Formats: sequence, structure tokens, C-alpha cells
Amino acid sequence: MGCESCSGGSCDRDKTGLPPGMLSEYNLNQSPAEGSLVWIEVINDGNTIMMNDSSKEILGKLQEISDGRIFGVIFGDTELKVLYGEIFSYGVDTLYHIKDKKMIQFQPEVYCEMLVDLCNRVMPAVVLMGATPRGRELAPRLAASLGTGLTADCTELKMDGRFLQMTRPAFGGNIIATISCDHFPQMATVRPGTFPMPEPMIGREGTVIYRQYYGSNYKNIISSERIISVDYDITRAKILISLGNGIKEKESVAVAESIAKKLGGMVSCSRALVERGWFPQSRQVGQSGNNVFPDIYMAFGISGSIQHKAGIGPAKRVIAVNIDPEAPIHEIADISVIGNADSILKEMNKLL
Amino acid sequence: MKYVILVKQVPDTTRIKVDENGNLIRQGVPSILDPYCEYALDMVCRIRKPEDSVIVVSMGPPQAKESIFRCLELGANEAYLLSDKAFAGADVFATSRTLTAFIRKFAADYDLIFCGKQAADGDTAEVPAETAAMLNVQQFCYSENIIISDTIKVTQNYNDEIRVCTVPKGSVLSVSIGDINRRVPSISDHIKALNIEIKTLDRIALGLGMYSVGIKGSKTKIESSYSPRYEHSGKIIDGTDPSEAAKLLIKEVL
Amino acid sequence: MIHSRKLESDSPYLTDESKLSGAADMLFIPDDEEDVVKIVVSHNSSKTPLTISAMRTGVCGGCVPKEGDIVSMEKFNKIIGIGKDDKGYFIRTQAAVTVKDLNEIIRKKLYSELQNITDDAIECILSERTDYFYPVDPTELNGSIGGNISTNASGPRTYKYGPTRDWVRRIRIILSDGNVLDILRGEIKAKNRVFSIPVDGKNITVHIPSYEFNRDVKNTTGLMTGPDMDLIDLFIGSEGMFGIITEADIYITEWHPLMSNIIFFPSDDNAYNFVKEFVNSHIDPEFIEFFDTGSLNLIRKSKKNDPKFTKMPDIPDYAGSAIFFDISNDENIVSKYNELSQIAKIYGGSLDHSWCGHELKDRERFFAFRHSVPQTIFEYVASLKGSMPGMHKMGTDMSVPLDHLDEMIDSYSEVLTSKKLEYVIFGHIGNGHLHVEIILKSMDDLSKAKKAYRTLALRSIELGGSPSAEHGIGKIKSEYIELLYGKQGVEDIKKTKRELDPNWIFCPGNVVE
Ligand SMILES: Cc1cc2nc3c(=O)[nH]c(=O)nc-3n(C[C@H](O)[C@H](O)[C@H](O)COP(=O)(O)OP(=O)(O)OC[C@H]3O[C@@H](n4cnc5c(N)ncnc54)[C@H](O)[C@@H]3O)c2cc1C
Ligand SMILES: Cc1cc2nc3c(=O)[nH]c(=O)nc-3n(C[C@H](O)[C@H](O)[C@H](O)COP(=O)(O)OP(=O)(O)OC[C@H]3O[C@@H](n4cnc5c(N)ncnc54)[C@H](O)[C@@H]3O)c2cc1C
Repeated sequence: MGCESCSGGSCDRDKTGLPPGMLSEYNLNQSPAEGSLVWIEVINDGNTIMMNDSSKEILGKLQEISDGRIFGVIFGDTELKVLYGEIFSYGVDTLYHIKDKKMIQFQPEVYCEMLVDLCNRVMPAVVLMGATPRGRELAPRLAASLGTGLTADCTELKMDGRFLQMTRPAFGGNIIATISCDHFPQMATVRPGTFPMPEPMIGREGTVIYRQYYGSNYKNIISSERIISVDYDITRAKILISLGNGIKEKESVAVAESIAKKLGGMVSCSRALVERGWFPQSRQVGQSGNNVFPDIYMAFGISGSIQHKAGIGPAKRVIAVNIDPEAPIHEIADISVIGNADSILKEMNKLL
Repeated sequence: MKYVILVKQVPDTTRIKVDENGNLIRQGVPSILDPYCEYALDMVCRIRKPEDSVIVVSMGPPQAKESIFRCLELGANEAYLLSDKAFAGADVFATSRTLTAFIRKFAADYDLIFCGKQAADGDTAEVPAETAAMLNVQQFCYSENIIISDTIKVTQNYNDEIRVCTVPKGSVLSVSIGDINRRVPSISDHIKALNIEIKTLDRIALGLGMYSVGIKGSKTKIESSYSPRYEHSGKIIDGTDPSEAAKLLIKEVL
Repeated sequence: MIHSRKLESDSPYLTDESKLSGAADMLFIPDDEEDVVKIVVSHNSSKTPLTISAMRTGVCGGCVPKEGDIVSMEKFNKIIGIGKDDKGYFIRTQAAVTVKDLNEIIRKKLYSELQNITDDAIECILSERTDYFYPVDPTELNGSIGGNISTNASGPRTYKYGPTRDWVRRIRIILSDGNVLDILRGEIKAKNRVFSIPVDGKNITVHIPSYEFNRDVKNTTGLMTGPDMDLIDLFIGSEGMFGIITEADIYITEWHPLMSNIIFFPSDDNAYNFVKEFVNSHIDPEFIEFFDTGSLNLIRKSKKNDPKFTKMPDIPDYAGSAIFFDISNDENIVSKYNELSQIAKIYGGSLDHSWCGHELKDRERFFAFRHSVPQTIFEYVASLKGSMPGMHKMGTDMSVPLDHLDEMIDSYSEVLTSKKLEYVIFGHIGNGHLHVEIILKSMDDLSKAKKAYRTLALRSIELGGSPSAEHGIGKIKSEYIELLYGKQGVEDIKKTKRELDPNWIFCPGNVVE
């Protein structure tokens, strides 16, 4: 794509003859004052490079609520080029690619400096990113640097012209607050899995602009290890069999794995079982674990503490198996089975 | 070494109930030291040497002294409460600004700042990074382990990645994990804490203007809020017979 | 409306926490007092036994029927109102309100929907700056007030506040002929061991048993007696023999901030000896509880399998026994701790080797920790039931004066060790009331334990104590009445029973056969 001699990036001069940095179809009705800037988080485990789902959901939502221009930002080296097409297909008009090998790893201080610079340049009305662990670390640094407010972990966004209304849970989900910000840009992180995954507009095009970082604010990362392989990532599971303290027999872990395999799902757990040493923390669902967004969440012997429920907010269907009919998990369950978790697991495995 | 720990008192959110009109019933809900702040304190207590100083600071109403007191019981040896009517209604920006002012004026020679990952009421998890940005220092969120030798090394857990970084002096760390069973002080610890004064500082003492703090210094505004009420609308199945229950469940998921 | 149904043989109404199982034909569930009277009158005229049941948390089979029918008071679960007299505030409740519900209402001050029993009592209590609480704290908080009154229940705090008896202002009770007796403490007293009770325009004469009721130790063995005792005290602790309690007034008292403490000692006897001095100090604890080495090891073991088991940190390795107590968290706390430190030092303890907590959340953890010993044993016994269906828990409930505690503990170890039984000791040491739980491994152990139990009960009586300090007699311990009061005592109780319940309809089998 594009001509390699052009420092401005993939300008597609061959096709359109437009100068670098210029969109192929510039929408003159778009007000730049209503523009939004989105940090597009990239998953890169050395083999696979992909846009994370949360960024796609945000881009989908933005198109629904705003007519403004959408600026995307990615950090990393040339390996990210393969993503351009996909990023445009989800609605980005202008993509800033901050290009540096050192940017492959998450560098909040440096990312932030670059984002401050971009915000001063494009003056977006809104800056959004996914409320993923990295998004929730980067966004506040940026907000403070820009001197603006930030609403965390939003579950709803509404836009009126350039004004954004952000809705978020607080007090462990006991309260839902709608928040506005009287400064620009208005910033929010968006809870993954809340907004529907949009359909990509295959073939949609946009402009890529490269930028470079000349500072030295890198932190010294000694080592880094991916602990979730892309193929066993509970945050991407469609069906989750989740085990808690009500599981008494160790055998049930293997039984659950077997059921999950047969159903095409994965096995997760509450913190209680991480404490017991039965699962690594990467399998834990909840506030100090992972947020998950399955179609079906089956909680076996999990009481449903607010820290646990915080992680299963957007699950489409919750099935609870618990011996105690009063357990709080039933409040959010579509189906509650009052019974013994270990033996029901065993029976399910037999039947499947 | 001089450690500063930012701590917050929060209502025990596990005990909050919602009334019929969707309002939080706060009456009778006890306040606690936020568990993540406690994890931060525990981490510092594990690495500190006897001669190190451990300063806790909290912005909050006078009752927050109870939580600060708990920090003293658990090993802190100096404590400040930033309290002023004007601080009320602060959002993260105003909170971080107030905490930053404290650090600059009263603890500028600190070595490391520790925070909890996220406080149980605001739930934003933003104060650590905003404070780091305002102090213009590096930030290390989701810290799980710290080793201090010639250099300081921290292990961060991003759920999909665990990484180890070198921590420059002056950095802000947020701590995401700790012992599920809160520590219990000894009676000797309690007596020691009774002998430490908790110093209260107000807006003037911190040298902050009216429009830098509290609701006036905030960038975000809560327009409205409500408490969602979960009512059990789901089906209830008797699972006394495991094989019957298993059959029904399989029908539901297939 | 009276709800009634036939009882299936596996109905939960036929058992309680003692796991004794009984038999009955019909279950009656009255909605109000009128219903109760109807049920009683019809049973009295047909002389059908009627066993009174509420939350079924008893451990002596008191609510387990032998025959006849059951009346369950479960619908009497409303808290009625608040009043105030010269002794303070009291709460008027129906009989099946649980201690937990009562505590909840008081703690959250949910008074607005209650009635004023005396003028402006609600406004008055809401304007008070202090909080209030009901100080009797039976371990089982799901027990009903009616049940607690019938068994004169007590708990750790009985050390400072006495048993249920001391907090009952008034009761309403339905007698066997259907008459309602409304007894206010102080209104009817005995003369020379005889009551003359005005009922329905007549006077019923009731004789008080001739034995002396031991009030020096915690004691729920048999009816209370006394030459000029209050009528209300005859009913408190009578285990349903005389009638059905429908309503009661319960005093509450001012709450003060508390500090929970656990102090560890190297060995068991360090802890007993510490307690002997502790009770005579100025420290004034709310209660004193003890854990022996065996109990601590039991917790350690359970915690290894499940780190969340007690929500407490690990028990330090140096701990061989522990004393748990609450003290008032006031301005004198440091001087109290200084005194404590002096005493503890003599017995190998130190304030460094302790735990303390003042926040509600922490104090609750301390109580859960205390609870974890019986809970572990309960679960252990339940796990044996599969292979040994007749298995049940064997715990003692004996109290002795503190001066003789050493001797009692020596007897425990002598008797149980000679029978090769494993046991743990924990409980209300401040009241000389320790629970000895025998860790049974086989049915053979169970029969050995039963024999040992009798020997130990005799020993407790010898030392001036009571073989049933807090759980009552019910149906499983009625032999102790004779052990303690002789044949005459049993006859006396029967006489009192006949005077109040001539057709012997209420709870036959409780206390006396
Ligand atoms: C700061 C902080 C962060 C936290 N973060 C998280 C987090 O990210 N994720 C998380 O999960 N927790 C988290 N927790 C812990 C949380 O508060 C709970 O302690 C935890 O979720 C409890 O796990 P559980 O539901 O498995 O266990 P429990 O609460 O012990 O519940 C066990 C359930 O199993 C049922 N049960 C028992 N026996 C059986 C049986 N035989 N069959 C069926 N059911 C049975 C019981 O009725 C009960 O409901 C956090 C706590 C704190 C303080
Ligand atoms: C319903 C609701 C929604 C809200 N939403 C937002 C929002 O979206 N954006 C926003 O800017 N504000 C919001 N606020 C305000 C926010 O709760 C307060 O600004 C609060 O001071 C920020 O802290 P937090 O509880 O989120 O702390 P977090 O950032 O989650 O706390 C992390 C750590 O920071 C430190 N810390 C936090 N507060 C203090 C303190 N007072 N003193 C000392 N150390 C501290 C502690 O180490 C703590 O463990 C909201 C408040 C409510 C009630």
C-alpha cells in the first residue's frame, strides 16, 4: 500500500493523487470540533498482532453517537502496518501511528507525552480508550497532563453536539452515575464488552500519519512475559464454567475443563480458588482479576461478592449453581440451580 | 528510605443496601480502610527497614482518622489527614492535586509513593496515575511484588502480561494484590499507634486556592445517579437430584 | 388463621440441632394469639400432647416431639414496639423473633415502624446519642427470643451481663386451660415457696420445688427455685413445660465501643492461671473465652485446606493456647493494657503476642474465629455420618466455680485420656464453663464418650457446678435432674408441672419424664 518514498505514510498517491495526510474522501460537513480521539490498543504476543475488541466496540459506539471525525492512535513499529486496513474498517478517519520499536511495549509516560501532543494538535472534543488494565493506567495520566477530567469504566455514552454524557458504575456497582465534564477534551475509559461489536466496513479507507518520539522518558523494562496465551484467554471466551469456594473436590477442576472443552468454552474461577492455589490468577474473574464478557457465564459454588460480580457485568446469560438459595449471585442469575456444584458438574460431564 | 502511602477511607461496599427508591442506605454502613490501600501498606511494611519512615496521608473527612489509625497500628510511623470543608466533592483531578500539594510541601524528599489500585467507592483507579503525572514522575500500576536492593524492581501484572521494571526514585506505585485475610495488629501495635499524633492539614496549610480543590476544582460533575436494583427474575431450579439438574443445564447451554 | 398439616416422617419439624428425631401427627402453625388459644384448648380437652417449636436451634431435643402434635410459633416473628421504664429501654417482641433480627433492628435503629409502648419511647431513643444493644449473645443467633427465654440461654457475654433471665421484663404465656397470663417482673412473688397466681378471677396455687437452685455458676439444670422468687423466673428456663410464650419485653442496654483481643500463651495451664488473676483485675472484660492447644491445632489444620477458613491470619507458631476477650475501648484502655501486660508476663504471655481489633469488621472476624472450633467439629461429625449413621456430636456443657476449674480440667484429662479419647477444650472460661468436645472416630468412641460424660457430670456437681450450664435439659439430659436434685427433686418438678398443666400436654419429656 502507498508509496514507500513518502515520509508522510501510506498516502495512496497512486490511486487518488492527493497529497500525503489528506483523506481520500474528505467530509467537509464534519466539524473538527466534534472530533474524537481513540487509543487503539494492540495485542501483540510475538506471533499474533491484533486490534483489541474493546477498541472496536468504542469505534462502533462513536459512529453511532457522533458525526465528528475519528482520530485513532497506535503505538509500535512497522509490524502494525498490517492493522491499518482493519482499523479504518471500524471507522477511523485519520490514524496516527507513533512509530518506534521501543513503543511495542506499553510505556505509559511516553504514550502520554505523545497523546498530549496530538491532542494539542487535533483538539478533539472527546478522548476515549478501553477500560482495560492499560487503558485505565494511561487515561488518567493523560487527563492530568491535559488538565481535564476523566470518567472511568463507562457503560454508556451519549453525545449532544460536542458534549458527552458518561455513565458509569461506582461503589462496586451499587450506584450508577451519569457524569459530564466541563473541560475539553472530555475523557472516558469504556468498559470492554459493554457495547456491541460493530460490523467492519471492509475496504473503507483513511489516512495514516506517522509521528515520532524524540524524548527519553522510557521506563526500563527488564523482562516481560505473556501469561495469557491468545488461545486461552478467558476474556475472549463465549462460554465460561466458573468455579468458586463451593467446589469441594479438586477433581471438579478437571471435570470442568472437560465440560468446557465439550461446550467450546473455558474455565475461570473466583478469587477463593486462586487463594487455594487451584488456579493461576489469569483465570480469576472480578475486580482484582479479569473482566469477562461471555455469552453464558456458569457460576458453580460462587457466592457473588461485589468484587466478583464487577467482573461479569456484561455477561449475557448467567447461570448459578449454588447450594444456598439466598446467595447474592442469584440476583443476577437468569437461571439458579439450588444444588451441589461438585455432583452437578460430574453429571453434566457424564451426559455430554 | 522515605515511603509515602496514599490511603482512603471507604464505606464497606460489601454491606451497602439499596432502598425501594433506589437510594443507597448509608446509615449503619461501617467505614473501612480501603482494602487495596491496605495491600499497599502491607507491601511497604514488608520491605521497610526499621529506620525507614512510613508516612500515610489521606484526604477525607475527620472520621477518616479511624482508617489512618489502622495504618499506624499496622506499621506507619507518621500520619496526615488532609481535611477541609472545601475539599468536599473532589473528583480525581482535584483529589490528586490536593495530594500532590501535600507531597510537594510536606514530603518533597520522599523516595517512593504507594497507592492502592482502586478505591472501593469511587472505583476509578485514577488517583495514582494522575498524581504521578502531576508530580511528573513515573508510574507503576498493578504492582504485585517489589524488591529493593541497589536498584528497585517491581513486578506488574496486566492480566495478560507480567513484567518487571526498574523503578526510579520518586515513582508512584499502585498495588493490586495482598493477603485476603486482613492483618491483625497486636495490642503492642495498638498502644504504639495511640502515641502517634495524626496531623490535620487544611487548604491554607497546603497553600491551595479555593478553585483548586473540592467541587470547585473538579473537572467532572455528577449529573445524576441511581442504584440499580437487582431483582431475581430468573428461573429457580431444584438441584437436589444432580443428574436431573445437569440435564436441564445442558439443555440451557446447548 | 391456623395452618395445619400432617407431618411426614422426614419432616424437619421432627428434629433440632441435637439431631434427635421424634414423631408427631399434626403440625399447627398459628397466626396470632387467638389461634394459639384455640389450639391449646382443643388439645387440653382431648389430652393430646403438644410440643412447642420455634426455630429448632436447640441442642437438647426440647422441641422434638415424642408423640401428639406440634405447634410451631414461626409466624410470631414481629417486633412490636419500644418502651421505657426506670430500668431503661425495652423492646416488645413476639416469641419467634430471632436474636439476630432483634440486634439488627437495634443496630440500624429501624424503630420508625414500631409502636410506642410507653409515651414517646421511640422519639426518646432516637434522640439519644448512645447506641443500644441486647447483651445476651448465644452462639446461635438464629434462635428465637421465646426459645431463649424457655431455656434461659446465655453466651460469652453472660460473664458480664448474666443470662437471658436478667433481661426479661415481661412475658405473655398461654396456659394449658387457654388462659393468658401476662407477667410483669416484680408483680407476683412467691411466699414461702408458694405462688398464688390470679387467673380468670380465680387463684391457682403453685408450689416451687424444694431444692436449692445453684445461681453461683452458670446453670440451666431444672427449674429455678427460691423462697420468695418472682413468678416470671419460674417460667424462664422452664423449657416449655408450663405454656406457650407468645410475647416478651426484653431490656436493651447502652452500647460502648469495644476492643476485641486475643492473647496467646505457651501452654494450656498458663492460660487457666492467667484467667484466675484476670477476673480479679480492674480490666473488666465483657467475656473471657479460652482455646486450648487442641483447638488451635484444629483451626490450623482447617486453614491449611482452606485459607479463607477463618478470615484471620495464621495462628503464630509459638501459640499453645489463647484467651479471647473484649474490653471497653475507652480513655482508660492503656492503663488496662498495662495491667494486662503485668499479669500476662507472669504466665509467659506478652502484648506482642496478641491480636486486637476495634473496627466492627475486625471484631466480627474475631467472633468467627471463636466460632470456627465448634464449626469444624460439627463438619467433622457430619462427615462421619455417612459411614456411621448413629454418630452425633459429644460436647460437654458443664460449669464449675472458677476456683475449682483446675480440678475439673484435671478430671477431663484423666477420664478422657484413660478412655483413649481425643478431645479439645474451648469456651467460656470466665464463667468456669468450658466446652469439651470429644473427637469421635468410631461408634465405640461414642459409647465410651457417653460413659465418660456421666462421670464428668457427677464430678462437676461434686465441685459445686452444674452439669448443664447453658443448653438446658430437654429430652437428652433429663437424667441430670436426678443426679443433681435427687428423686425428691424430680417429684417436686413434676408436682409443679401438674399444678400448671394438669393434663400434661405441653412438651412431654422435657426436663422430667
Ligand atoms: C479488594 C478485593 C478485591 C477482590 N477481588 C476479587 C476478584 O477479582 N474476584 C473474586 O472472585 N473475588 C474477589 N475478592 C474476594 C471476594 O470478596 C470474595 O471473597 C470471593 O469472590 C469469594 O469467592 P467465592 O464466591 O468463590 O466464595 P464464597 O464467598 O465462600 O462462596 C462460596 C459459595 O459456594 C456455595 N456453596 C458451598 N458449598 C456448595 C456446594 N456443595 N455446592 C454448591 N454451592 C456451594 C456457598 O453457598 C457460597 O455461596 C476481592 C476482595 C477484595 C477485598
Ligand atoms: C458515583 C461516583 C462516580 C464518580 N466518578 C468519577 C469519575 O468518573 N471521575 C472522577 O474524576 N471522579 C469521579 N468520582 C469522584 C471520585 O470518587 C473521587 O474523586 C475520589 O476522590 C477519587 O478516588 P477513587 O475513589 O476513584 O480512588 P482511586 O483512584 O480508585 O484510588 C486509588 C488509590 O488512590 C489513593 N487515593 C484515592 N483517594 C485518596 C484520598 N482521598 N486520600 C489519599 N489517597 C487517596 C489511594 O491510594 C487509593 O487506593 C465519582 C464519585 C462518585 C460518588
